[in-house]
Amino acid sequence: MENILLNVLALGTLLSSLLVISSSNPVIAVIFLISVFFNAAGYLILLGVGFIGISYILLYVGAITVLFLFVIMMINIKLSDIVETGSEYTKNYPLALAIGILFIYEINNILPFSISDVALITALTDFINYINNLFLYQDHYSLVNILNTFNPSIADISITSFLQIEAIGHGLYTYGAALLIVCSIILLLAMTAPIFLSRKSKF
Amino acid sequence: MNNLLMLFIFVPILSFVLLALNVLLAPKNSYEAKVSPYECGFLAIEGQTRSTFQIHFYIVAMLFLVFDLEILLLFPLAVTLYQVSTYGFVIALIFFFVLTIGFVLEIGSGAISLTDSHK
Repeated sequence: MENILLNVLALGTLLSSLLVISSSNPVIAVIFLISVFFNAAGYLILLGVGFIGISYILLYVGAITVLFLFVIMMINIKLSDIVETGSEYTKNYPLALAIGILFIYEINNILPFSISDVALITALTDFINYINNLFLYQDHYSLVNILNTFNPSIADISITSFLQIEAIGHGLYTYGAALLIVCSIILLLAMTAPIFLSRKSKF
Repeated sequence: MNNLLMLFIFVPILSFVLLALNVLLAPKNSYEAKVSPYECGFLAIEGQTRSTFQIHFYIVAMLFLVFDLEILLLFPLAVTLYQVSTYGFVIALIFFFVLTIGFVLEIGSGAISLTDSHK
């Protein structure tokens, strides 16, 4: 069940992001940006990283989307100025194609796509891998070093079980205390910057 | 099949059913004055409806973002205060104190007041 929902959420994220960049009304684009954030947060929660997923919804949807909406309110856009039709719209296709192919090529170098049973696509990816190995000598480092947390589900060998947010709290406030103080100084700087940029009187 | 899954299935079904009932059963007599947006009686002529955007709205939203980040970093302390007892509490106090300096600066400068109270 979780695998299907992961794929559905990933598809929802990609579709929403496509609709963000291609919708003509800016407010509709921000609505689809909210949908991107919700789908990404759901994906993260399903992966087990609950704290980061909830923080996505709190911060991205709650504050950053509001900033986007304020920017759209500030810029006086007339909808007839930004709607492009015909050859004005299709002139962007070659550049989009080039950047898309570059992105897919780089991701394929790091995480090879695995599409089983489709001979044409596997032939294409094998050809690309062959060309890669001719021109670029690369040590295939593996990304499999994932730390598995020791979390037994049998009651008689589990000493204690912490929630994920509890584990973060333990580490952040004891071993990562210096990082937390540095983070507070960064937030203080981020607070003073808008105040000083937007003041009228000199103090 | 637990409660959260039933919630995730039931809520979209309910919202779609309510929307579909509205589309199917509600009478529609729309004319131009009803469909166009209402702007307190002004006609939608460019230049009459938009006033200058005050920057204070943006400053309020951005400062809310910074304080929201602070609250997010205080969430793990709220669940683990018993385990990190005194040391963690002092760390959180220092964290809070540094951000309170920023808060005092924000209040004292009057950065988010819409009316000019510091002349």
